[in-house]
Amino acid sequence: MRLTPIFDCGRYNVRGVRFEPNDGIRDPVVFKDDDGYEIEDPASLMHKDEYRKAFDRWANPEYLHAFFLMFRADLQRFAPYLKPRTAALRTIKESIELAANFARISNEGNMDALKKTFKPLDNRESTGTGYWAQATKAKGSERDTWIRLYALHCGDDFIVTGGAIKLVHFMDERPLLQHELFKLKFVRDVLAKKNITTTTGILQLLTT
Amino acid sequence: MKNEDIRKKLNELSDAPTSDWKEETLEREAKKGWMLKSSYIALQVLDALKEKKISKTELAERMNVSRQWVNEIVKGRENMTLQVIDKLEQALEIEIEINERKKTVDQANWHQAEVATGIEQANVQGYLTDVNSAGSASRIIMVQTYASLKGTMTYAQGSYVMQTGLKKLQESYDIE
Repeated sequence: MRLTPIFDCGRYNVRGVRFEPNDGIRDPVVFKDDDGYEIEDPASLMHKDEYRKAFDRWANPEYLHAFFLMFRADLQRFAPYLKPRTAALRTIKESIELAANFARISNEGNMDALKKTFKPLDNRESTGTGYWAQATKAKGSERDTWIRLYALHCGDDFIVTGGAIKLVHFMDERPLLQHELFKLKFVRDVLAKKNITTTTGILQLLTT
Repeated sequence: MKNEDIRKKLNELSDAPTSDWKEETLEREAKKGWMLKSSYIALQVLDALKEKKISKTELAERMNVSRQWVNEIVKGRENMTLQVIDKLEQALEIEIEINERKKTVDQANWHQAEVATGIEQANVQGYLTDVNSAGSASRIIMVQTYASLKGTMTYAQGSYVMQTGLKKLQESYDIE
């Protein structure tokens, strides 16, 4: 496992994890087209860190189309009557906004904004209500977003271990989200072996 | 362990940056206009391929182009000319929209749906579900019930919503 620096923001650094073949981390779902080819080029995936991988997926109409078709039932529960096509386009727009927001925060060196963007995952998962209830209660211009980046907070560094589209309440409800938890724990363990402790546990990032 | 020590250890685990992420992001934002159009076209092509059970290889053959190029189109990376769009339309027998015409139903837009139907968000969802599964006689009663419960519609308005509202809602908000 290696880390790739993504951007800094004041004294904070954001890095993406790049898994190596000997880490044995494999995506649980591989999307293929009707000709049987993998939608994401496996060779190029190997060289990408998890931050870039997430943003590349969220910018790829073919990946998103396949994703929302596969998880159509979840989509309909999350946003009734939204077509996969519309959901895919919405994801692309939101990911562009999210990336631009990071660039802005980084340029301004706005550490508070960066820190606030990351929310603890554990609390929400353990109470089973916190985040979800807040999100679904959101009114007016506050939108319900489904894109997530997952990260560990180590000292002044945010280590992004992966990203996902989260359409269900809990992480253990879908293999892709279970996989994100697995990666978080894997990275936490690798860092612990090097005596690098995470200061605030597992985090997930929410768009603002 | 102090933050500086953690940083030092993390630096040991880190490679040199592969590229300037910020520059890439700003570039992507600058290209946002055509990228979104290109993605929207890609999604329409993907919908048509799925619906008509056509593979990308077959589409490439119909267009007399390489499969690799079709791949670029469905990944939204191709800055398409009108000629290419026309070729896609002919090959797939569809009409392609360049701009996203329809609005989506999300939290920000629900209030517009409410205005369109005179029914509150929760009831719009219930209304659509019920209307889809009910017979025509029941539909009238449902609309009248929703309307009278909310005091938002008269009988005539309720009938109007029954007859045209659902269609209008589906068309306006790109919903199923």
